[in-house]
Amino acid sequence: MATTSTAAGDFAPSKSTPISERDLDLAIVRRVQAGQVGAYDQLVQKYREKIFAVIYNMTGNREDASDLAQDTFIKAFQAIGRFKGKSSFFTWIYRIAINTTMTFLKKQRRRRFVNYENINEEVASSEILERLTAKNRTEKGALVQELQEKLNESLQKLSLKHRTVVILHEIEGLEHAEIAEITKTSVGTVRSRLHYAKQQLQSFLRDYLN
Amino acid sequence: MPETDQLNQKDVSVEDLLKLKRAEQPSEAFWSDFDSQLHRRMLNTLVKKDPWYVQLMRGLTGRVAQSVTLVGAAAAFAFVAIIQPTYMTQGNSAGEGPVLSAVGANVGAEADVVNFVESDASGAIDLAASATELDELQRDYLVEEVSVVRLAASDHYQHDFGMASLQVEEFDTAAYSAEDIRARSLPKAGMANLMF
Repeated sequence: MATTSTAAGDFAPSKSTPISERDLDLAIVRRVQAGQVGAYDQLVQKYREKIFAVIYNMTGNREDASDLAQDTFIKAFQAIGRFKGKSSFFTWIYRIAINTTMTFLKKQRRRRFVNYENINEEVASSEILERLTAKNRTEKGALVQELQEKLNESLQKLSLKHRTVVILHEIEGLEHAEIAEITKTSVGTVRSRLHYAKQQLQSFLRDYLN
Repeated sequence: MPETDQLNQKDVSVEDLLKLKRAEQPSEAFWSDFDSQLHRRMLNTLVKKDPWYVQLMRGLTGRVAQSVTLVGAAAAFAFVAIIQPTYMTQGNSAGEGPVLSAVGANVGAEADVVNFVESDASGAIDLAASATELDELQRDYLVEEVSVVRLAASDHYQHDFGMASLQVEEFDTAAYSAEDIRARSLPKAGMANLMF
């Protein structure tokens, strides 16, 4: 895969993030750094759903996720002058989101209330739900609600580091190398954490699995 | 039912269940609120205010600093005006120490020392030390002497006190005023400024 040098210097290519996407983000960052503060809004609009989703799945609480996602964008905005472009903006802001959320969760002395997001009905009408409905012979709406609660409970039972890799890989679709860069660990560590986390989830969710 | 049988045959994995989490998405109204809240918070970060206790400390520190400066200046003046001249006298056995005040250079007179006026309950008393007595004191106590001498028109007398240099020029009432001498001879305000 070809690399491209930009004003930010050389950077490693990313498999799942095309270079053009990365260059686009970097160009916006440079504009913000040059003083066009309004350009930052483009980055917010582009990444807010992803950032919110990661944080929501880590916290299990919609309101907390909203606050923490805003914190993430504010921190990124305040630190954007120091962004050199060695990693992609995408990786950088994910890292801020993960660290902000972990700091928040570690401070929680007791478990906070869960506050689940609404299920998008269009997305929920998937083959997987059809299979589950057929298997359990239950009404779809009831199954969806039950499954949502069970999934979130199971995720909250995992440790923070295991929860993070599962969310980033299985829900967000990131690759092992990207997760390793975000979490500042090795690919091997990501793989082993993922393997362990899936084993745990299998035991928690065995009633819904074949 | 063949379709149901087909669905039943396929296994549901952990990965399949986790993918269902992607269906948990906020509404457009949520994002509208999110954007406006974020903008408001970002504007607040630009107008940064110190916490209340920092503002309180700043206010108190300002007032305290002013008080300390005044007290310090008064203490320094008292030190220079009382303690140093005390060494120059032969001792003062009278009750409380007198308050000494510098009345300024007697620039018009032929006297070659600065007159110090001592005031106590009975009234003002002039103390003009003679040159001989001053010489003796200088030998004993290394007291520095400030003298104003009628000089020739172009002569200047510089005496370095270590903080600022003093230029004492010939005093010609027509050309100079006392304020001018003070302004020109004291490049920076310091303790010496209090003496004149």
